[in-house]
Amino acid sequence: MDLESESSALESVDDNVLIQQSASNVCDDGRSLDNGSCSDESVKLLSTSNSVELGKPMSFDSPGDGGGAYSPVLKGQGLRKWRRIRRDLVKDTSANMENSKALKRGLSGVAHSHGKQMQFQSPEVEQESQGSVGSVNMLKSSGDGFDILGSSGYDSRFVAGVGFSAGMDLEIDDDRSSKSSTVARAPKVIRYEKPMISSGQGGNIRVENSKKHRGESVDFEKENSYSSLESDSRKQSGRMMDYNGENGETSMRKDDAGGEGGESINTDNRYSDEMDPLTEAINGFLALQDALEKEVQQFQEIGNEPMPQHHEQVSEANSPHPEIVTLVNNVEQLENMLEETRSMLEVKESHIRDLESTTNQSKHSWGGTEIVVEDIFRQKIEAEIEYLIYSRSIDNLNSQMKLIDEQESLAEEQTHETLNKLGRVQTKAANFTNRAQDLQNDCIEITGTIKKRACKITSYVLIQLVLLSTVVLLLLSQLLPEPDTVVPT
Amino acid sequence: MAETAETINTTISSPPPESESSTTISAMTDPTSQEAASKDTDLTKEAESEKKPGGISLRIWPPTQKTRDAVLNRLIETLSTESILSKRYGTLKSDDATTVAKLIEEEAYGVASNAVSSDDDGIKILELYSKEISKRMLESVKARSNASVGNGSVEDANTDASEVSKDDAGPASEEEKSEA
Repeated sequence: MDLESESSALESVDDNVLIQQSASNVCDDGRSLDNGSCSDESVKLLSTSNSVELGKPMSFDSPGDGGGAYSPVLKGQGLRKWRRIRRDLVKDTSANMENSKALKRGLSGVAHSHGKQMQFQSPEVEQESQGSVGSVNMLKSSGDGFDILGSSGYDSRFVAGVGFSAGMDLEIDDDRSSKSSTVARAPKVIRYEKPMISSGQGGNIRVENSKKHRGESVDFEKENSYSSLESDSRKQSGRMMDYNGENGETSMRKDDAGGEGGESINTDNRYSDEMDPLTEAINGFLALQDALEKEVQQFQEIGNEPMPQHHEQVSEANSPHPEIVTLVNNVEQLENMLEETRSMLEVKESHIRDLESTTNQSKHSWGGTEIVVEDIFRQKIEAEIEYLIYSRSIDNLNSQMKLIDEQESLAEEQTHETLNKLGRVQTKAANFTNRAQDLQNDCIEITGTIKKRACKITSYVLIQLVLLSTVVLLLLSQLLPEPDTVVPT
Repeated sequence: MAETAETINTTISSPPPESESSTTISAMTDPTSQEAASKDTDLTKEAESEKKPGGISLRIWPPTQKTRDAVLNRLIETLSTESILSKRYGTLKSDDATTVAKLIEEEAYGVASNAVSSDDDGIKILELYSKEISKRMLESVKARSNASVGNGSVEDANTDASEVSKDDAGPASEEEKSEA
């Protein structure tokens, strides 16, 4: 992939050289025909034809969006003025107008010719708007116009006017105009991506690789177109070499182109701008063809319409007949059923009448009244007997209730008597309790007296003992003195 | 030595009054307990008396002789006096009525007494008793009317009896069919 990209870059450099030469020729034509409007148209055609060559070879390697590719290339340029213009060009049309003023101020040397071109470009924008071109296309076309001015100013310094070269350019323009019919807007977008490879930035290469995978199917078609254009470009290069003759000039031009990659974009933009009117005309023709085709289709549809209508009418005419026949048959069947049901009803009604008559006869014959009378008599007797028995039972119950009442009264009397007895007994009990208390008191008193007597007795006994002891001692004392008297003798 | 002797004496002297008091207490309690027992016996007697009439009052069957006599009197009246059936089938004399009524009542009472029912009140048995009496009344009345037709002595009575016999034939056949 990298090798292919390098080879494509080299080819792009060669193409740029050719483009620059053609651009210088265009400038010469512009100078010769300043007053007329036809000169501007011719310039546009040249730019469109040149842009065709540039667009397709670049598309070989790098498909994708133009906007993304456009910005990084600007950074590589040396001149500050060009940078300002190109950055602003991406913005709205109002910004572009301001840039146009800046161009006038900057380029004093070529003020006259540039001013005229600017004046003519403004109506281009109006025509495009009238042509109902999309806003995106307007932006691109306006950008291309301003780029053309810059590129033309730059080239005029290095190139001199040559009559032979102008003639050859005219021939080349004819060939390119014939080819422009096959061109689409896509090459313009691809054109911007090509310089990325020449700048040699690694990040951009990665992005391109990813884009290539996405657009594989598109690349095959573009390769075919590229091969056809490549052969044409080689022929042109041969012709240019023959007429120039000076090898030194060609070598110097190549070096300039290689050093400044931005110019290639400028030339591309210029050619793309000139290409617009042809593409617009072609688009108009295509639109007309589409409209005509649509009208033809409409006429065909109108011609075809009556046929299905006839078929529909036929179907409408045919379809109801069998339905009607079936409905009529159903109605007839239903009527028959109704008649049958009516006859059945009549028969049943007759049966019902017969049954009613038979029931009436049976009633009269059986004599229900007698049976009713007997039943009533039975019920009467039953009721009477039950009444008697119930009444008797009630009387018995009443008598029993009376007995019970008497018993209750007797019981009450007994209860009263028992209560009276209880009262008496309670009184007696109270008396007995009182007596018991009295007795207890008496016992207490008795015990007290007994204790006193006991004390007295004990005291008396002790006294007597004391007296006895004294007596005994006296007796003993009398006995003891006798032995003493005997001893003295 | 003396103090101890005094204490012993005191302890010896105390028991007699306690024994006396205990005897008095026992004498006090005995009459109350006897009276209470008498109360309990009285209450139980009252309860028994209350239960007996309740049992009697709840049962309607079997009826007493007085009720049966009352039923007999009613039957005799219905047979002897005029009524719808008497107008149709004729009335009976008092003597015949009494005999017929007794037979009917005895038979019905027998059937009812033989019947067994789960009800303790005897209401169902009473209903059966009444139905049996009613059936036998009708049978007896019809039989008497037929007999009178056979024994007819008066011409007017004969004509009436003949009409009655014609009328009786129908219901008799109906009864047979109904029985079948």
